[in-house]
Amino acid sequence: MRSSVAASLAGASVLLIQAPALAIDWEVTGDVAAQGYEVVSPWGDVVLGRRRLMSTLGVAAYNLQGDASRPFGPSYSVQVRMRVDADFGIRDGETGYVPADRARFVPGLQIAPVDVMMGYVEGRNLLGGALDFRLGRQYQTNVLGWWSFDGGLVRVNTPYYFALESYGGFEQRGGLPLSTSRYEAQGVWRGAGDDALRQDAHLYPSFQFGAVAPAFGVALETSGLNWIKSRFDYRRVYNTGEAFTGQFAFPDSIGPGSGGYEKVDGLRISSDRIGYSLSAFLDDVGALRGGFVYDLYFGNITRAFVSADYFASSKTTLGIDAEYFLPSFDADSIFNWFTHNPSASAMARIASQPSRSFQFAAQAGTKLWLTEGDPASWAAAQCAAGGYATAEQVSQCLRFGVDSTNAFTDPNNALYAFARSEESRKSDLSADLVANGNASYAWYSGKADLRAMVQTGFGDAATNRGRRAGGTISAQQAIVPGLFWLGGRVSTYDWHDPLRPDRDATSFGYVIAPELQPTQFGKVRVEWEHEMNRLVGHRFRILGLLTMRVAP
Amino acid sequence: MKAMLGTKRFRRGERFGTMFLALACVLSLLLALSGSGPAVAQTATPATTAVPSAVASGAVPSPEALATATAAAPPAPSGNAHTNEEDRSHGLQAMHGGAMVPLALMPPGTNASPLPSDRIFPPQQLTIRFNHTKHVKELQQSCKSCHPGAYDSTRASDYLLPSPSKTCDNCHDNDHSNLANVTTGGEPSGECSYCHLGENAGKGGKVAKLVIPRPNLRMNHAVHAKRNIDCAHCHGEIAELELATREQLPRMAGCFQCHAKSGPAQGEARGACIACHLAEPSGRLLVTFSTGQLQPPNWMHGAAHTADWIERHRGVAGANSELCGSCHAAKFCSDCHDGRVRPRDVHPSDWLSMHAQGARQDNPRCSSCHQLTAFCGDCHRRVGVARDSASDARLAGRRFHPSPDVWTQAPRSAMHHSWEAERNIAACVSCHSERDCAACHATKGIRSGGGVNPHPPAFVSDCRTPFQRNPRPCLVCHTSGDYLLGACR
Repeated sequence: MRSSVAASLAGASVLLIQAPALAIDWEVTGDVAAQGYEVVSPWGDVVLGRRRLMSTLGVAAYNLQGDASRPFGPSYSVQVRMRVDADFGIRDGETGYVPADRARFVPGLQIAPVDVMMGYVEGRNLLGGALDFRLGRQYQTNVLGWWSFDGGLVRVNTPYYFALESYGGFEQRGGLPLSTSRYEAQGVWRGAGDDALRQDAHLYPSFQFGAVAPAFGVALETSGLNWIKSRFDYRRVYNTGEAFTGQFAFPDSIGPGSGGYEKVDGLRISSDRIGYSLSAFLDDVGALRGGFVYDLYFGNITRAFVSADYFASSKTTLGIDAEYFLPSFDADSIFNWFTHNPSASAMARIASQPSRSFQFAAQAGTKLWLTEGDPASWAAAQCAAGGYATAEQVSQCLRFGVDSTNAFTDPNNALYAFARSEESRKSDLSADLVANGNASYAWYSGKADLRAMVQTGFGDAATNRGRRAGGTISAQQAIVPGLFWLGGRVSTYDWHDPLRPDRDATSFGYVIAPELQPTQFGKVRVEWEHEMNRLVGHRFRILGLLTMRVAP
Repeated sequence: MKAMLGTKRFRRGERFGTMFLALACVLSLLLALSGSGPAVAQTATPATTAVPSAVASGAVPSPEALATATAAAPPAPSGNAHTNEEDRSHGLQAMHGGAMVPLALMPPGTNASPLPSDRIFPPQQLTIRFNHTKHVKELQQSCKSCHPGAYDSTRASDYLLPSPSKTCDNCHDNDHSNLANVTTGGEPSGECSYCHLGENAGKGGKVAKLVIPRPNLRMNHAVHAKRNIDCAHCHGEIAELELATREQLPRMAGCFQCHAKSGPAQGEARGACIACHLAEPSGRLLVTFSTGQLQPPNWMHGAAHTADWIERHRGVAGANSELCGSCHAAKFCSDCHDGRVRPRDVHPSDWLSMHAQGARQDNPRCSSCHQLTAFCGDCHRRVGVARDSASDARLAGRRFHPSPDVWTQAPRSAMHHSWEAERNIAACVSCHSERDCAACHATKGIRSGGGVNPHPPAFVSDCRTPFQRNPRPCLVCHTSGDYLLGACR
């Protein structure tokens, strides 16, 4: 027996030794970020002490087929990246459900969640370039957004100007092992929970435990035409698992079963969307981009955008951007019902690079907000419609309100009738002025950047959604080129919110950031940040960042 | 010298002409194929030093490099090609006297990119005077006469400049066969300074160094030549120019004239970036060079990384993410879009204090990078500003929103929450769970709500599809037996 094992090992060794050497390229990357800072409430209380440690580790091997000499030849690779994102400032009781002590408990919160950001095997240019595939956890980036799923993707490249892509698997979701909630549709509070929490799940009826989410999609896109890129996407994601519907226990008045909660279970739509995007250019004229997303569940266009560039010269580009945006949410979420109106923006811009070392850009435009009805006159009109005829009565109505129950719910109530009438709900518009300015200057051993912005509304509280304005100047200078840099950042911002005037402030902050690269494999950066405003006084943050990359 | 010249079976006049022609062809096409050149408008560019005023100790190209040039000696033209000192004002610039080069003579794509990329074609130092027009038009030489190597070259790093001993010397009265000891005859055309620029060129056996770095790209001249793609197709009408400079090197927009096709029309002229650009093992482009970072040109899908790139990259990435993936690994995107370290160019200093106003203004859009119910909600619950915060986390006696009389009660004041929800419901979701909304908006009775209808008047005509595909959000506010759901079944 022993001899047979030895013989097998020897045989394997011979095979390994005699196997042709493969020119596999590999890469190990990683970063570690340690941060310490305090979160202060808007009223000045220090409420959280954050002691964060985030680390990622990525391993990749390319050209597993060995021969990397043909750029368009078949190639195989494998990539994995993992992350731990810990906050050691999280206090006892905030995580880990204890029925007797939930005074600080936050469902789904974890001290040190670990997730696999991506991990897949990929094959490219197979069957003479006709086929690509990916298998594992992977990203999808297209007009539908940035998304991640576990599964397989196949792409067929045709010789006729288009490619077909199809994929299926499970959406990456919060609450599942080694996963984050970043890529699921908005609007549903999901996370992980132990058996104890599941037993008392009714205490948090809006919280859903993570469950697998089957998903699939197809895409058709142009291929090989560099001057145009056009892509059509369709994707559907399902929810599974149990979820509360009613948010409150059955009232005692209904008799047997009172105190319970209703739930739904099983396969149901999470999101179902199509999208289309187009990008094209004429190299001596300009470029045009546009696209839209249509939510088949919601029955609305949830995003549309168009952008045009005019190449005024080789150094200057003029452009316009317009966007229509209607928030949409997971089909499990009630927030879709509260989405009535889109916001829209329109911006004009100029970007220029007068010299190799200097460039600047400026944007200006407006952001538009729609409401069903005029906020400025609604209340008075509603009061008038409700029979508050005299000025004094209207004043009383406005000052002390009305019987909310009737006004909001009784179809026979005049105020309710006013609120439900199409005439009252005519769209009304308010607008913000938005402007950005950017400039950068580089010299042999350093660079400096300026970023400035303003967004401000106009009028009274009915239309004015506040103001934010400020800018940052940052610079970095090589002290010992290739080894040591010193960076700095100074910023000042002012903000005003008519809904919360007690929290208006002007802020000043600075950052000092030395950076050291002792080896070609990595560098270390330390940032000292000091911020001050009247609300929080002085606040400090220290950040250490280590980045590494090792490759042959 | 005489013995050396004796090996050439030319009459003196022929020899001069041939030598001049050879030198001209060699050097000009050499420059054109390897990369060099002043600006289109004959303004000196930072990337090219066409005429150094003084050269301390230059050196001719290395013998190894020159040995790779397999140029055969071009045929000698008849007649004396060399004239007098006046000739020496020619060949110093693309157009005599520094006139602007017409666009028609420039490489295709020059209209989009007036200068070739210095990341791809690093700056050069041209220390040669050469007149292509004369050699090609007057002396009837072809490109191949001096650059035969270009027709067989398979790599961009191949040295395509001709060997002066095999070309220039055929007409010019000198001998470059031993570059450590170049000898000259008595003719003016054989003087070092006839072609080599710089003060005291040739003094001490030295001339100014000709610096033409290797281009940072893949290029197979042989493949192009076999497809009958002539030199002018990529380099412009060099035969119409005097000095061929770096300006005559190809522009990517010009490459796209062929490399933008697909299917049967494409042939081998693939449009993929790595068809021409150097790539890392991952397949992404190599973007860091000694002359800077490779970035998309201004015209390519409007993807130039201008100063406002952070503000406008979304439109480009959303419409053509494949373009981004040519250079950027997923980690580059995830560092911000799934980031756990605040990117300071997006969220400036003191963001914690001002982020509520930023969220209200939807600038930047929180959901671009954050899961509102988890990333935002978790912190808001811990801090106590969320309505469903745990009891110990709540900030007693403090209220984030305006007082209830204007925020929640009827009539709807200008500061009523409904306007805010209509304008930007996403900002509500970052703090509020469904339970908060259902408390008022769920139906009365079993659902224990306030019965406040959030739906627009015509909602019943649109509710059938969502109810049938996922009834859960309907059942948050309505019981399954609610008659109001009848229209949606």
